[in-house]
Parts: sequence; structure tokens; C-alpha cells
Amino acid sequence: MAFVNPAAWLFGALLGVLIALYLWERSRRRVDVPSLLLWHTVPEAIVRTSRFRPDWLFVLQCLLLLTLIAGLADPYFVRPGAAGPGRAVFVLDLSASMQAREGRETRFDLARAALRHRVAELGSDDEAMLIGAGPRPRVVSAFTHDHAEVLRRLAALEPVDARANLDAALAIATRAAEQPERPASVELFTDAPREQLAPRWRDRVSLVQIGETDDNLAIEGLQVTQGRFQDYRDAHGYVAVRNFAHREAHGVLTLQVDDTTFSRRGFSLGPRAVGGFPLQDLPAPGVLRASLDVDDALAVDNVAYAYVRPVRPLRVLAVTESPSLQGELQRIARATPNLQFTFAAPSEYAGAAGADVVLFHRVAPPFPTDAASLYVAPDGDATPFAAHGTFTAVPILDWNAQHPALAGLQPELPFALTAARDLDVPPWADALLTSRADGRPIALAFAGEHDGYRRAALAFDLATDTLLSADHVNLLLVFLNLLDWLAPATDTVRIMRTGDVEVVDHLPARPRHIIDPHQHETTLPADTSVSVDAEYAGEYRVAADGTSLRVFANFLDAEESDIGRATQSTSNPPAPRPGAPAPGSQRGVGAWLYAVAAALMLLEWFAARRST
Amino acid sequence: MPPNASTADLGTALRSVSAPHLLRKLDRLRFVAQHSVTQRPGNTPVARATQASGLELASHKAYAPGDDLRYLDWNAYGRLDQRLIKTFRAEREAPVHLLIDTSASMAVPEADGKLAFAVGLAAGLAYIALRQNNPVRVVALAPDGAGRLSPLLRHAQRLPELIQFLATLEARGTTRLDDGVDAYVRSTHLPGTAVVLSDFLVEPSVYEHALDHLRGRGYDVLALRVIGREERDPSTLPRQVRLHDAESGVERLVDLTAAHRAAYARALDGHLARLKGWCAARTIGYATADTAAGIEACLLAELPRVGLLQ
Repeated sequence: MAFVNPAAWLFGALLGVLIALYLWERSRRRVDVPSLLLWHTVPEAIVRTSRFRPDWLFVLQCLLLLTLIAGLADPYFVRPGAAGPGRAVFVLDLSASMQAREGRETRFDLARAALRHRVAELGSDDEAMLIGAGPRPRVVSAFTHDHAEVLRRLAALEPVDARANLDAALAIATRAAEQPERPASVELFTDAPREQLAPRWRDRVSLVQIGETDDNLAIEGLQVTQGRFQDYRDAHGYVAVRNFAHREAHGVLTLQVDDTTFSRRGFSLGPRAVGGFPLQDLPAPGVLRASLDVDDALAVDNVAYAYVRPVRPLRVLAVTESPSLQGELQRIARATPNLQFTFAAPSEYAGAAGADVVLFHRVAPPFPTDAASLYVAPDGDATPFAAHGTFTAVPILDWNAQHPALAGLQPELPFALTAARDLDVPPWADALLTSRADGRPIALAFAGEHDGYRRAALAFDLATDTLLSADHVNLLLVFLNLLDWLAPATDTVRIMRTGDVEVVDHLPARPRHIIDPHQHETTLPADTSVSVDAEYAGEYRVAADGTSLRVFANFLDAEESDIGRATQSTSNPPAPRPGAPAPGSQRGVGAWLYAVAAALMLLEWFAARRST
Repeated sequence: MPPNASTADLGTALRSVSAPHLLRKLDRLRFVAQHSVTQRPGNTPVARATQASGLELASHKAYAPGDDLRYLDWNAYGRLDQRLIKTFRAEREAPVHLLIDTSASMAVPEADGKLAFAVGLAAGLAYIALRQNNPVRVVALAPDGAGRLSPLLRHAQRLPELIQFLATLEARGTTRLDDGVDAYVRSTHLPGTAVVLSDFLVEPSVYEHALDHLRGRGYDVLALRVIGREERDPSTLPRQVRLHDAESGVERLVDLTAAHRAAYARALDGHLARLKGWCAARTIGYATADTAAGIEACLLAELPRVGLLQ
């Protein structure tokens, strides 16, 4: 026999109270008689009354109390062959929406309290596992009988500022629960309704849903558009604010650059409406911070960051003897601010001389050791690229849209080139533009990183077909993007989204220090690559030997910010719940005990009535 | 403070006696006078006493000059040729003294309602006596020995006055049976029938002294022992209990085993038997008035059985 609620036996202390009441009542039990004349034959009790001699009414009362306590403890008998102690896997949603306030507590607090209560219900032989469902789910506590340890680890959990990967968390949980000899129940504590779960989990997971408020005003998007060669004065942007509530909301949008406020504007948004705020005339380069002054349920989506780059010219040394290409490049330089070209004949070339990129035209010297390089129609004996000949009338058939140098471009294909050299793509490079010739694919442009600098090569000659003219605007954009990629802006600020991982490289070989938005510092060895795993929104600072980088993580997730929950559901788990009698395997006798208690109560009532 | 009989109980008892059906039955009863009668003419026949005129023929005597010829038995003179004068049963006024013990013990056990029962009984007896034109007085034997006296009533029309007096009685204090009786008999010189309604829960010498005193003053005495069901059977008492004497306030811790309950029953039987035997030896009437049997049964059955009424 076992008990569903063994703590109920603590009420056994009431027996002591009952005895004390009985003794007290007995001490004051006095009966008037007409005279003691006839009672002199009855010896006076002195010693015997000091002993505890319960009468049968008291015995009935004790039995009644014990029966009630036993009923509360809910004993049950485990049938032979039934499963042993149960197991439960608890999955706690750590997503940003769990930070939403429901009254005085957050959803996370409510969920944690429910989970704590659930753990307390477990029998001493039951095992529990705890999984935290953040962007990357993790097992907080493996299966254990030590419920106190589970509660201790549960107390240390906090929600993050990112979306939770419930799918992965439930996959881990169900995998852990699937042991044929000892199946376990999976219980998910979340604010997500059952309909938002993947269909395969809906019937397998017990759901404890918490939260219903939709009171949330959020920055849904913050975009700053600034070309590679554009000054901050030419940059512009856009802030999108959404009211996720089903009633009108009001707020104030504050814009700051490097902690200097340059705009504050109030606004009202109708139910479920979106408001757009254009950003123009930015006062200075720096970190742009947009924040909402509003008292809503979820605060994490009230702040967003963007970066306005300062002016930094791109210097290109063009090593060419072609006057036409020089003319083209000069025209491009005149039309593009912050792009500067200097020219040198191949015979005069003696190094980058401070240029960010060296453009080699129809020549192919070895890679410069102090700058990035772009080879255009490379030719010569010392070329770093193996050439196998020249094809004529080659069309550009495809491009690598994934490569950053071509991001955002859509060349009009096919685009016919007069001629192109057949170059081997080095192992460190990726093809950017491709074609087919002689029955096989050939690379018309490729790029990669070699000897610490970025390198690129074009197999066709820009000067031959005046490819940089306005008639070939797509090819012009490819060229400019390629120059930008070859000498990327070495910004000390990066913007990312929470839940993503940002890799920070090119740091000095010294210990690295990472400080997260909560001011927790992590130090990594010098030989460790640094990645910012942005679980929280705000500023991460990465520093190594004087080199520092600021990474701002934005929580911009419309689905997560939409915290309203139309329905509340708490469903029983389909699997047997540990800590409670499992149907079919256990036989509870609590109801019978209550029936016996009722009978005893009637009996005692009759007895008491008769005695009085 | 000892418990008291409630006014409601007394009122209930008096109302039950005043019920018309019971009064009609009481109308057929009368007191039987034994010795203690006054010289005032009345309606109560006196045994072994004759008078010159009356209603009930008692005997004859030989005519003597000066006898009233209206009572000459002419039939006997015709048949026997003797002049005989008829004598009649004497009828006198027979005062009734109802002495009620109003000590605190009469209110305990409360469920027995001994005082209310005694009061009701006294009202019934008073009604019977007044219907016979016999004077009635109720004496409440108070703790101080002085007692409270009702007026000596001689007419049935004054019965409500007596009822009102009875309704004011309350049980309190200790039993002063001997002192109360002594005080009363010293204050009155009208011997008659004395009915003592009490539980007699005193030492035998006390009630013996009181009853002897009454008897010695020429009263026809009836000791009416009022008793209830709970006093007879203490089985409803808890096993371990502190007994509290309603009069003296003394407490006694007892463990009521079956043997102890039996010992109490024996003590009670001994008490009743001693009282009854002592009364029989003194030609004092004795009756047990059980509250469980009811006032009507006591008036109509028990008291005629012991010869107080007929």
C-alpha cells in the first residue's frame, strides 16, 4: 500500500489535540446530584482518574479523525504486475514571452510555481527530469529521485530574450521518456496554446498553459539603410511599432544616438495596428537606440538598436595600362562618394602603398601582402591562378546568391561576355559567377580569403566591353559590391538578433572577455574562437588586448511579442502521472475511507445524543 | 450555584393539574381524616366520632329526657317498643398542611423535575381539600428554617391565590426539614393532615425528628418521597465524573464502574426502605411519588392506595 499524499499524515498531530481536548473536557465534567448521601458507598477515585482512560465516545472520535486523515492521504494498493515508481519529464518554456506580466507575477513565475507544485506531488520513488526550453534546449536536471535538487535547479532558471525551440525541447523530452520498461510522462509548462505545438506533440504531451494578457506594444522592426559609401547624413531608417493588444494603446518613442536623445514622439495605435516612424536627418553616426516608454506586460521588445556607420573612404589602387578602364573607374569614383581610385602602371607597381584594395588588370603578380586584391582578366607567367585558355562569347549563366559579395543583387541573366579566361577556382575561393563552356562549368568570378586578406578574380576583362558603364548596371553593382567585400568596414559595432550566434574573429591572440547585458563576464582562452550567443537583448562587449567590439542583440520577433492567448488549457497528461494512482494499475481506497468516516460520524452523533 | 427548577416547569406542572379532565376526576376524591380534626363543623366525616345531627347515620342510643325528639327512631319504637335516638357520623373541618421541601436537591437532576412535580401535587391536593371546604396551607420549607407560608385558605374560590403562591417557589439552599417543621408547628395551632413532599435526602435522624414532631403535635402525617428516573438510575452519568452536591457544594470524584452503580442502587433502595419502615412503625403514612409516573397517576392511584384520599 502507498499513499498519494503522504504528507496528510502530518495531520495526525490532531490526535494530540483531541486527547488534550478530551482531558480538558473530562477535567471539567461535573454533574450535579441531589446529595452525596447515597454516594458514600462509592469509593472516591483519586489515582484512577489521573490515568488516561478513554471512554468509547472518545475512541469513536479518534477513529473518525484517523479515518479522515487516512482518506486525505489517499492510500492505494498497487496491483501485482503494475509498473513501479513513475517518471516525469518537465519542460519549462524559457522564451521571452514568459516574461510577460500577469498581474504581479510573470508567466514564468506562475509556470515555475506550477511546476514546483507538480514536483512536490511526486512520490518519493518517482523520478523527475527538467528541461529548459530556450533557443537551444538543455537538460537542466537528468532523471533523479532527488526532488530537492530539481527544485534547486528550477529556482536558478530564468527566461531569456529569445524565442524558445519547443520542438527541439519536446524531442529531447519524449526521447528521454521513451523507455519501454519505464515510460514517463512529458509535461510542458508554457504560455503557448496547444495549437501552436507541432502536431506530433499535441497528443503526446501534457500541457500546462499559463498567461492570457495581450497588453503589449513592441518595436517590431528597426532598419537603417546606409550604403557602403554613404555618409550618415544620407542614411535613413524606419521604426515599426505594433500594438498587439486588442485595444488602443499609447506610447512615446524615443530615439537616441550614443545616449543622446534626438527625437521623442508620442503616438496612439489602434487595436492590432502597426505604426511606422521614418528616420531621417540622423544627427551623428553611432549606436541608434529606439525605445518605447510604455507600461505594458512585456518589456523586452520595447528597445531596439541599429548602427549608423561613420564616414570611411575606400581606397583602390588600380594597376592597369588601359586608359578606357581608367576612364571608367574615374567616372565611377566621381559618382560614388568615399570611393577613391589611384592608378599605376604595372611596371610602377611596388606595393599597395596604403590602398585598401589593389586592382590588377591583365596582369597577375603575386598576392600583395599588405592589402586585399582583385584580379581582372589575370594574365602572365606569375599569375596565382591557373589558366587553361580563353573562351569567347561566354554568357553568365548563374551566380552565387549566398555569397555576401552578391547579396541583394539580381543580375539579368544570361549576360553575354565577349571573352573569358578559363581559370581554376582555388581551394580557398568560392565561385561567384559561373557559365558553361566546352561541356563543363567554368567560373567567371570567384572570391575567397588567402594570406590574411580577401582575394577575388574576374575571368573577363572589364575594359573590353565597357562593362562598368551605366548600360550594365548590374555588373557595375557586382563590381562595387566586390570592392566593398574585399575591404569590409572594420566596424566596432555589430547588430544581431537574440537567439542567433555571432562569430567574432580577427581578435588578437590574447584572452577574450565577453560581458553580456546582465554584466556577467566570461573569459575565454586566447586560442578559442569567440561567438556571442545572444540569449538576452542588449549590449555584449567583446574585448581582447585593447581591441573591443560591441554587439547589440535585438529582440525583434512579432510572433513572440504577440503574447495574447485566447484560451487557457491545462490538460492531463496522456501518460500515467507519477505521484497519482495510475488508472488500471492502482486501486485507491480513499473514497471508502470517507464513507467509513461518514458512518462513524453518524454513529458518534447517535452515541453523543444518547449519552446526553 | 446549585441548579434551580425553572418557572416554566412549575407553570407546566400547575397547568397540567388545572386541566378540566383532571379536575373532574379530582372532584370525586376527598381526604380521609384520621384523628387530627378541629371542632369546627365541616364536611369531612370523622371516624369513631358521632354528633347529634348530620347526614350519615352512625348509631343509636337510648332516649334520655332532653333529647331532641326529631331524632327519635320511630320505626324502631314501633317494632321494638324502645325509644332510641339516632346519632350521626361526626363531620368536622380537617385542615390540610402541605409542606414542600424547596431545597436545592429538589431541582436535581434537572430532568426529574422533582420540585415541579411536588408543586403540581400540592396544587391537586389543595384543590381536593378546598372542594371539601377544608382549610389548606402550603408551607415552603426554606433553607433558613423559617419557611414561607401561604395564607390559610378555606374556599375553593381562593385556589388561584394558592396557585400563584406555588408558582413563586424555587429550589435553593440546603434542606432544613427539622428546623422548618419545628418552626411551622410552633406558629400554628390548627392540627390536621400534614403532607410532607420531599426527597428526604438527609440523614435519617433529621427526617425522623421532623416527622416525629408533626406526629407528636397531633397531625396526621404523610411522608411523600418524590423521586425521579435519573435519581433511580445513574447509568447516564459518564464513567469518570466529578459529582457535585447541589446543596453543600461538596464534590466527589468517582469512577463509575458497574459495581459502583450497583452500590448506589443498593444505597438508594436502603434509603427508601428505611424511610418506609420507619414511617410504618410510627403509623405515619408513606408514599413514593415517582415523577415518571406523572401527577395524575399519583393523585388518582398512589395516594388513595395509601389511604390519604378516597
